[in-house]
Amino acid sequence: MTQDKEFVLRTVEERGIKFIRLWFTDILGFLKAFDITPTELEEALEEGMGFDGSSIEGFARIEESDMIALPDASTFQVMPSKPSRAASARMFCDIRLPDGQPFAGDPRQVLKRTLKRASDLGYTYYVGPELEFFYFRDSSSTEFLDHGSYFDLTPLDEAGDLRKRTVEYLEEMGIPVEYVHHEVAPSQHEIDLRYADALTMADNVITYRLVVKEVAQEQGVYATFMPKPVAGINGSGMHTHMSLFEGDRNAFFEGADDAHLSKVGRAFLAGILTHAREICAVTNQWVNSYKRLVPGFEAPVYICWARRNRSALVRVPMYKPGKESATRIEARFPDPACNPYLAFSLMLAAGLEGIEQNYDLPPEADDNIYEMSSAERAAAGIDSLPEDLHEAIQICESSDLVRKTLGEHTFEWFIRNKKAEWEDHKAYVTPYEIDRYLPIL
Amino acid sequence: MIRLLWVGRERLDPEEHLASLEGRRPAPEPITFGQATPEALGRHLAEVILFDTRDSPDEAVAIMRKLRGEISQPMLAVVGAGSVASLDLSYADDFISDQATPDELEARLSRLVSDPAPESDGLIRRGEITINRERFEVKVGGDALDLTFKEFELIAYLAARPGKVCSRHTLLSEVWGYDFFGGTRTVDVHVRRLRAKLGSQAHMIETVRNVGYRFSG
Repeated sequence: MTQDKEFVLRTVEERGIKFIRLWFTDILGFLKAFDITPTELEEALEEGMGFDGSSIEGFARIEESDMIALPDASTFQVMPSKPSRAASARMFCDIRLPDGQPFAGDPRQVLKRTLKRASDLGYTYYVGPELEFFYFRDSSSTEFLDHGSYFDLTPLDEAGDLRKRTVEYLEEMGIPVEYVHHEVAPSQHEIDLRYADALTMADNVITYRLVVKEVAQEQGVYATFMPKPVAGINGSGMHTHMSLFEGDRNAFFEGADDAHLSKVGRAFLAGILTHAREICAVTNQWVNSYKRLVPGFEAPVYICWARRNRSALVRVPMYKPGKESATRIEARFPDPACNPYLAFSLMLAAGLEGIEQNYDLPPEADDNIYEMSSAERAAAGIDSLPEDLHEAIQICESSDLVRKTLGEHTFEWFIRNKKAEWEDHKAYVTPYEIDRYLPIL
Repeated sequence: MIRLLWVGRERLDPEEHLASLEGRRPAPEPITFGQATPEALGRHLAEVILFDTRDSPDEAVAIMRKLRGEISQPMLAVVGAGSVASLDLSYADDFISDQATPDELEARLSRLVSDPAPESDGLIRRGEITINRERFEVKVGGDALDLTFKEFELIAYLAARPGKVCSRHTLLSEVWGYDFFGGTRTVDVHVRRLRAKLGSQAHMIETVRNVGYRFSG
């Protein structure tokens, strides 16, 4: 038995942990869990725990529903306890087939495989995401907690307390927070996580979404990561800061370059721009995601990069002297309702493709592109993100990069699931149509 | 074998200087006094730094005084026969005669790099922090912290060496192992997580710029 497993067993015993929750996600990024007791723990750590995968999205067909969840002992974390409840802990799991082979539909596995590709090239991939979200009174409407000018009428700084509790909870879970602030829209908030390697960070994003929702629920309100819950105001994004390190050296930094980006950094950025339209169906995976990606709300629409403009698809934050290690690029298109394992995998794969194929970086966009007509943009070679999920799926479906990175099983299942979602949506009569058409037609 | 760095007035083959190092593998890497900066040593993989005090004792002592508390590796002063009494060796972690046998030298080296002995009840106590290695438990005041295994290993390693600077490289190789692929930023990530969990005691882990971390001593 390795020392980290011994640590888990010992802690469970010493701390009187009553149950251990095994965590994993389905292909869409929904957290799945089942509990085991301390008596089952040793066997679970060595051999994994069997479960029926047939009811998990994207996991298995009926004839191959037996799955093994193998806990990753390094992710063992005691949950911050409430006096009224039994002490519990959680571990993230890798999903295996009964013969011990990694299961191809396990998103954590997809990310591990992509990170291995990066490490074979000598790179470590670091990410720092900024997740925005809204607080509403409940999950059935979009009533804000704070109303800008009506602030005086709301209970004193209700959302401020929520944020504070959330940050405390996250820090107790070992997830350090960089910034916390109220966002542009009413009732919209943002908690930024400190960078970490991509696997740790994808685990952190899953934990973060749960913690934000749980703390809200404790206070009798609802937190949502829905990309565009209210028309006419900003939606919620997951701006993702990224860099590659070669050992201790930031591979993106080059002092002599205008944007302080190295050849590697420029090629990586070019890779993201080139493949953004293909990976968009995963980084922005819902019908609703595309309601956020429209002009006028600080969300990106056009495929371009810039240092200052915050509507660019990718922003290169200004270099501060002496901060070579902080050189990074910020992808602004993903939204917080994505599956972080798959989104990080595809952004990394797109960047690596840029490095391996020596992509040229187009010039930095100037502000004019927002004033150009679509014909002028087309003439200047500036493309746009997909208009809707339907277009995104079509582009994604023909992408070798996405197919190769996700693997056949995950790719096929994802495309099938998203097509079904679009078909559903297409047949739905929306409130927009009732409002506009019923009175006049 | 423990990796060594030889600091002397001139950059000569150290085997010529010390009989007990003849044929030793890995051979110590020689550098000069002028090259022995905290930054250079912080990046170096050597586990013990040998200082040749024989040619210019005053210069050697001055360099050791400057490096004291700034580097993570222990300093071993090599002294000539009969000069021990006249030398100020308070900045070195230990000293050895240039007449020592290879066995004696190796014994001295392994003592310098081995883990310090815990207190008699097996606990490490620093400030409000108590660490019980046997039970994998860290308490602040009376409250147990909910640490992951790596976080535990990291604080246990640092706290066992209060006041001593541990470089990122040392921490990476000691806590994660040499085969870990992730670079020393991993250490920074974990230190931040630990500080977040330590709360009021976060200051007990100090950052030493460009080198690494130090547990408040």
